[in-house]
Amino acid sequence: MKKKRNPMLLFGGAISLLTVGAALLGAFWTPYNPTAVSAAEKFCPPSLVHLLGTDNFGRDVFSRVLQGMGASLLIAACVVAIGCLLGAAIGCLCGYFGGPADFLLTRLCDVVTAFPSVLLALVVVSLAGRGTVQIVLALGVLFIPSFARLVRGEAARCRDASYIQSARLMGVSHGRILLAHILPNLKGVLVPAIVIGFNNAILSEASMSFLGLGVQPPFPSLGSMLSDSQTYLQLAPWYAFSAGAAIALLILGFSLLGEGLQRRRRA
Amino acid sequence: MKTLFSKCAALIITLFLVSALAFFAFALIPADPATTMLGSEATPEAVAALRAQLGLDRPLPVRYFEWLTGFLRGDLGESYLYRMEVGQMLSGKLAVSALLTMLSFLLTVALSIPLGVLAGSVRNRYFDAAAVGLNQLVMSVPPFFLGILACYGLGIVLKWFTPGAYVSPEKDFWGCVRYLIFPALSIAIPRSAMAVKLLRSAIRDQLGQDYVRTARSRGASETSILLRQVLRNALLPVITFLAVSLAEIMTMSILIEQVFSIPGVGQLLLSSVSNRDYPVVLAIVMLLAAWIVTIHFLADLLTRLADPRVRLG
Repeated sequence: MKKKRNPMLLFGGAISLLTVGAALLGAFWTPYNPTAVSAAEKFCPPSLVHLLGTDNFGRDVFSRVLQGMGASLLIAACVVAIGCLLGAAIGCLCGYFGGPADFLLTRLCDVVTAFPSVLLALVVVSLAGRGTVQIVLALGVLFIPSFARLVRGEAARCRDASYIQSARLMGVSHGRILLAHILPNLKGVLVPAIVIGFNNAILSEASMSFLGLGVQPPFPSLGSMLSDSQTYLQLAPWYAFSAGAAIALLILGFSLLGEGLQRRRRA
Repeated sequence: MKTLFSKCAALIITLFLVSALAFFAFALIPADPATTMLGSEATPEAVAALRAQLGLDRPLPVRYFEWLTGFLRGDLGESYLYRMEVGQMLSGKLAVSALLTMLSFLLTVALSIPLGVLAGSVRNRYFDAAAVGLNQLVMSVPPFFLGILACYGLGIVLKWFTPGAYVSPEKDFWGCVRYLIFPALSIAIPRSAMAVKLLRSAIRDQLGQDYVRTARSRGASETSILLRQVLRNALLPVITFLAVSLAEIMTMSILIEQVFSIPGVGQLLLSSVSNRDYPVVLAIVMLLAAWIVTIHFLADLLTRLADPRVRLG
């Protein structure tokens, strides 16, 4: 049978590889020191010396974008790791065992997922203070319900499957059933969900940093760069374009990848 | 009728729970408002007096009950920082944010339905690939970046408006609307890209159904099939999405208000978060939460009204 073409997966994979590669590069090497201030080189337009120009402190925008992408990806990875691990654990237990705890947690998840994550993150930041750790924890916790909901449905469906029933009759323990029989079945729904969650995490982090409540200066973050660049929009539009385009590119790559993975699953 | 009643009950219970969660979360933070207000050099007696004056020395459930009944009567609390009624601080800003939300919503609807029908009905491989690609690209641009692009392209280069030169609606209503069109577009364009995607795939789904084949064999024209029959069915998922958009748009406007320096609820919320002015944050969060929960409730009702299958189930 001819394999169905999946351009979304292809383009998404390529863009994501490019951005992750650039971020990895930025973690080890950048053309200039991203925090080095140079008064003589303020607002240089993009050129061969400074690929994306310089900002209001004379810092190289390209180096800052590379490092900012790395920060975004790292934060998104931590957020998704917290959300996915805890969410999958809660969803698995709820879906498999059911009962009143399941009912309550499902209702709670429904309520939490109705709220936009930026609003909830704002509440958490106003309670816990601003900073990178707070943002990661706040967003991580806020990502739990969406994963829990997804995994719960899948686990509840598996529970009634005949192979689980026969495993129970053979005397296999609950723990072993969860780990050896249900967990592998979750891979299909979890992989696209992780990629899409990654996407939402990048957007939420960029939004929070844009509002000045995420990664704090002088560390480069795409969101805070974008909000700084707004003051100099007339003088140095390349600063805003570079930071914003980097965010859009990250999101584009992962959204295409997530979509492509979902299509492959359905096909 | 019975489901309507139980839905209403669920709405009230949810609102009640959200209010309790929000109130206790803000009440349990370690920072003591009385100490914050008086500074660290205040005498313990002065702090105790202020605490008594603010009612902070009474048990939490009592304070919650008083806050809730006050809230329901329209008394939203008092700002720690400005010693001012929150309701008074909000009055003008709420109107601005509501105007921005409505404009964004109308633009989203006006953009997404025609474009979605176009994307769903044109059967040309190249057009389709271009439409899907462009749609995905537009979806990926965060609204606040689109806002900055609009400020640069339409504001600074084309001079259609002056970024930051906000006009208040009391002074010049149409001038305000003219300024708000640009932030509203920045919110509406990515949002409608998502709606277009939904509508496109729903139309594609419907076009493959048997009733479309029957209608074609009876000699109905493609346009009449599309507009009279397919669209009615395809719009169902989109209606829910658009209704829920009203809740998303409200949060997006927090960010967009920053970009276009619009003195709305979002700006007040952000400055209150920075200043740790908890009563203001609590009041705004509670209002937004009530708005979101109500919107979801109405979207649910709307789906039931529009789709008899859900109504029965």
